[in-house]
Amino acid sequence: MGLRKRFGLYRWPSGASGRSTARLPHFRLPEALTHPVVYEGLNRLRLLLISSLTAAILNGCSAPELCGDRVVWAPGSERIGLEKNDSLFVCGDPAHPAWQDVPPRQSASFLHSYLESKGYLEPKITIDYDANRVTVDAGKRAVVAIILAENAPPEFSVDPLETNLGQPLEKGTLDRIEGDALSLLKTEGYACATLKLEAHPDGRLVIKINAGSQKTFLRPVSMGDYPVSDPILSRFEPFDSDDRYDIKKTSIAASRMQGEVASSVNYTTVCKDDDFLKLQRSAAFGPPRTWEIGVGASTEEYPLAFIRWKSNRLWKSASKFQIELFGSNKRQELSFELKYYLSEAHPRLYLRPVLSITHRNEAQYDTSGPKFSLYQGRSFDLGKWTLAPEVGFSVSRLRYSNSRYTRTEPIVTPEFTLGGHTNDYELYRGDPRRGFDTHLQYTYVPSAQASSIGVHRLLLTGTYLYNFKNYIQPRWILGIRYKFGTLFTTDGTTPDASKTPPDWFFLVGGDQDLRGFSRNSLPSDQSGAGSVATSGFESRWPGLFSFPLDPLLFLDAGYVGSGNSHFSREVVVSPGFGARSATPLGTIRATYARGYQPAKNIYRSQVFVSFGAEF
Amino acid sequence: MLVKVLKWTFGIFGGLLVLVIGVILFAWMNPGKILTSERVSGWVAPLVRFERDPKAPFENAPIVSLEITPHGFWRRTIAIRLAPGCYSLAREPKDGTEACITTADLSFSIRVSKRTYVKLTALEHLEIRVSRGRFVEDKTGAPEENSTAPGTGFSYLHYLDQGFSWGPIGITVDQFEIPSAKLKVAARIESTELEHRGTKSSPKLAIDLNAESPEWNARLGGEIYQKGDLLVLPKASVSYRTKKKAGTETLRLGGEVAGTYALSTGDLDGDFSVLWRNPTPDLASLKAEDGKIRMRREELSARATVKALLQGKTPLGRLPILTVDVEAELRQPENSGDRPIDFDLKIDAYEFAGITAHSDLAVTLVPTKGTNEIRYRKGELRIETPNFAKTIALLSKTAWAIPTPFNVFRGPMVFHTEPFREAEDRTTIPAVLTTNLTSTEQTFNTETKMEIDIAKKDFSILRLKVDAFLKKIQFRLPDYEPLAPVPALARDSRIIRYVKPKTYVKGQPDPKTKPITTVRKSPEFPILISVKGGPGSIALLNRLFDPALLAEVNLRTDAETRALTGSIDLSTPFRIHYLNRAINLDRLDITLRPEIETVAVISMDRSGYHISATLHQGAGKTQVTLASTPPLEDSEIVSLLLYGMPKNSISSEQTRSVGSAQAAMGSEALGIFSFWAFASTPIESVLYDPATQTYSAVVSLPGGFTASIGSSWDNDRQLALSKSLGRNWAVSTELIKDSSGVDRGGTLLRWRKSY
Repeated sequence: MGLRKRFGLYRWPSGASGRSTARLPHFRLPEALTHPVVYEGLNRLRLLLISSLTAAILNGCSAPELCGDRVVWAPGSERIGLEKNDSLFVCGDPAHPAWQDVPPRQSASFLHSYLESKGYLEPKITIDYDANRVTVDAGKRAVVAIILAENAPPEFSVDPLETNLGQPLEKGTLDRIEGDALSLLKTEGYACATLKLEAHPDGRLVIKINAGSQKTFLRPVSMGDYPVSDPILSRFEPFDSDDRYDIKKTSIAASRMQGEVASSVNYTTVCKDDDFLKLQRSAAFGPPRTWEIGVGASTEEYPLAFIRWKSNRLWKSASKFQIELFGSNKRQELSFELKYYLSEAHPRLYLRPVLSITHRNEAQYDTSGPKFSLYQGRSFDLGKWTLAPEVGFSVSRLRYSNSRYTRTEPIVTPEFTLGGHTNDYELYRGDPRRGFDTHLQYTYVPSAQASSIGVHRLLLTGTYLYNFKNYIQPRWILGIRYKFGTLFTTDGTTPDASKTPPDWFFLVGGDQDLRGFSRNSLPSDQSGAGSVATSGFESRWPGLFSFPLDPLLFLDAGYVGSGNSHFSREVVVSPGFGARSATPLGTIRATYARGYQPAKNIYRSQVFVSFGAEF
Repeated sequence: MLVKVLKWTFGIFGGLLVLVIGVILFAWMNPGKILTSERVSGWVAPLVRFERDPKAPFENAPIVSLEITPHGFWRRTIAIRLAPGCYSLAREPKDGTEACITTADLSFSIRVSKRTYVKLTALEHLEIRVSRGRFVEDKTGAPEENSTAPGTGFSYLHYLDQGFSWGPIGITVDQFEIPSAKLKVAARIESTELEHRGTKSSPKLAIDLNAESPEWNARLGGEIYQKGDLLVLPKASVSYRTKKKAGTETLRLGGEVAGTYALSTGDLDGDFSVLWRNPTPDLASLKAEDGKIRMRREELSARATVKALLQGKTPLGRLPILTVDVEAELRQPENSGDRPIDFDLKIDAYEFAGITAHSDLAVTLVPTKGTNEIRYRKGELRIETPNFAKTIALLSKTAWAIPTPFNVFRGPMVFHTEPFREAEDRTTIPAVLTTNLTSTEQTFNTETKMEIDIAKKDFSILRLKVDAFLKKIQFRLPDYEPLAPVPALARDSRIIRYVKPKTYVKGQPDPKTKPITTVRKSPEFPILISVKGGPGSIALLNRLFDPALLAEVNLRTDAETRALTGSIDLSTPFRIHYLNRAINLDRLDITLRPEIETVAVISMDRSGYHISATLHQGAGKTQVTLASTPPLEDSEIVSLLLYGMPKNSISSEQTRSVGSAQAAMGSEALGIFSFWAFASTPIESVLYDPATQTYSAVVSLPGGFTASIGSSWDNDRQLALSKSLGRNWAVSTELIKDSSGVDRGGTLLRWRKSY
């Protein structure tokens, strides 16, 4: 506890970039309520409530004075704790005679600077020299009222920074705005931009920009002799040397590499005035082989865990091989996967053989058996999109069983998948806020195998996230997701469970599509659906509270059908609400939804709690 | 025939003489018959331009009313009265000199005298009241040379009878204007004695003179009389006050004067005391007491005791009055014809808060055409505090309290000037400041020699040279916590501060505030500073330093660029202990060229390797060069630096931190202090954000606690696919296949071990 008191929140900035960890709760209202007058009124009311509550709590708790009875708070003043080093200069250092007796005026002077760094720009400090006492009234805390930009390029907008409105006009806020504004400029190609901030006590914040000209990417220069060659590393870079500079893309590249071949990658721009001299790539490479154990949980798949061994930098092409043992209450799998990149000349082109032994136990069926797949794939970065097509085939010998039958089917299926997502979606995967992600999966069972008819399976899923006003600290995120899946038979007949691999049928319900129903509980019959179409809308309000809890409202709806793109007219609807919390240990989501299936007169409630899953 | 001619001649001339004598006798006996008011007015009328006062009671009264009253044979009383109205000289233009008289009555008595024919026996009455007047200098004629010897105009005493009787005298000038001098004068002179007889002295006259110009007001009030040859001003009050103008302060002078003026020789002897309020922003008042002035034909000298009350109230009350004895003497002309003025200024003792000042300054001012030349004959200024502890004690609990860590010193501190040096165009004032302050742990032992060059022609400072020699400076630094936030000692320059105008009129809109702008105006004269201190002359004590930071200094101002150049170099390597880790600071050179460049060499031993880092910091960037014995790659060195282990012994999470730290070093954004924090604290993880070039680091603290330094993790949210939880644990976002076989993001608690 001594240390806790001594070091406060254990979060310290270094250098001159001190940052307060305190955050005033802040929320954004829908567009209709963002009229300046309405917004200002609401904001003031909110701040008044918060400051009154804070003052009442602090005053009621008889917080200690600053330096014993030598530097004290004035009655009614907000009480602000002193940081350890600031205390040395305000109160003195009792350990050393030279610093023991800080004169009142010196204390007052240091305290003035300290309070200013916390946003109290006009404190009233009274000195009673006879009593050797300094009385401090911190005064009103200045807040950011408006953010303006000078000499801003047309692509730059202060809208994403507006969540700082109402924040204390303190050093931490200024540091954050400064950093965020610079990032916004560098996102729009201004690699060598610089800026200066001017904060006025009336709450005006002026960003004086020296954007320079828009730059294109330079070929990155590796800052060391790395075990992976530059052409191989370029596999992960979503930019070419002629593309407009965008610092987000360097973050994505670093993130991709860190997930694949390197432990840490950073890109640094080197500018001299407005000349973009160099794009440095610095990387740290750990040992190539790794053991990993992961643990997760949700109400859908009870504690899930995996043990994985992987080697990331096989051969010159930095190919990857991994063995994974995955287990949850729904799926158990042992897989061997090699991602073999073919050559340095085509660093993105790969072959991916996978051998797995899987056991799945759904309510409708149970499958188990080996499967071998071989895919060839390549990723493409096109503008702000990344596309990853893969084509191949699988050979499996799965044993299917349910209450009605048990059978084993050896089949060979050609497969095609196409994944696509925008840079933003990839960048903010750890904290989803904007972007588009879609996935198309196609498989085909020729007629000569399991049944007398051929069956095509098509599944299209996707998610779109919209961040209101593109706030850097989101205040309102609207999400839309969809799933469309259908089985087509070559002769147009309804897909028959007895002639089609049971796990090819679609099951919906659960946290990933219809949240008013339990996992994979629809359709309620034994075989699953031949076609499904679901869509979900979710509205989430991050940052509404001072603690990390985002309330959300959602509505999921869907149809199921027999296949061949036929759907019944029985709509399934799931309105609900919930919350998302980004804890230091990962995202926890909890939802409560009502499930309506009027045609079958089903009305039910469903609660989901998940760890790590996102919309 | 001749007799006949003579008879006729004598007869005629005798008759004429008798006639003349008869006429004279007649006129003497009946002056009113000859010198009538009309006749005299008729003589005066062509000489003056007269505009009668329309309010005057007698419209037809003559301009001059004359009444001569005989008293026996020898004595006559003459009363003259001028008609009310405005008089001006007829030969001058209409807007020339003019006086508007309300009352002008003069009555005096004369008698026949043997020696001077006529003697004044009495001034019966004199009353003049001028309501308005104007004096315009006649510029048409050649300027008249004032060849009149002093006192010539006052030889009327010869015409006064021995028992001369002074009647009441009253002269009042309500307003008299001198346009050429933009001056308006009002005066009142009245005799203060009811009866005064004799010629040895005149009656005492009370005078009250007021003069006003557009720039100032002046007043003289007191008594004056003539005693023999001397014009005596026994005591008078004087005041002078400038008028308030925008941007200037009002000058107010008040005082008393007394003196005598010899009418015959022009010698002047006077006493004066003057009070000058707020002469400068730094002075509340300047008072000249016991002032003496002596003026002779070839001599002018003055002396006074000047008491200056410094502006403002100190924490110990008003500053004590500064008393300066000032003497000035105008000497005989030199060969060049210039008359030098000798000034002597002496401060016996000025004491405040244990600080004593003495001064003895003698200068000669030679006013020459266009410029002045100043020659310093003698100069001595000594300011000393015999014991600084006394000053500290006296100023404690005041606004002027000596700040920490200086408020524990004791010992003497002396500033004194040395004999001035004269050159053709300048005077050099040498001075020495010596400090010999000590405390239990600290020392401030210095000797600073200064030279100020002052131009003789305009007293401007030509050069200031300061040579400081640091014999020993040792300070204790407080127990700074390296991992806690940097204290807000300096104000954030990004926050604009405003100051409201001083004047604010109630009821009017709030005046617009102005931003405070700090404009540093460098002096026009060169300031040459040299600071030298030998090895170990600067010592900084801190709990982390083993034993102390010892440095030497050699700084100087470049004469051409006026920039401070030189270096502060570490004298002896020392160790820094923190959180059970130790590093050596082998070298620290702070160079001013004039931009500050810092080179630091830090070394440490980790796992059998000797690691050294050379940090070159300049222009806001820091270049880090790593080296080791035996040689290792940079990433290995960073691994040893952060974790004390080579890369093959650290976890993948730690490897990631190594990469981030390396990137932060490569970005030139990592300052020396931050590097030291990396090297001297047990780092758990490091994350670097290239967008903002900020880093975050989690540091292990004793007892299992952790602290983060650097920028907040919040900015790195988009990168947070994996967050280290320390050692091999992390929270990472993984792609996990859902039941449909589609990869979906999910967060997992993950343990990872690479090899």
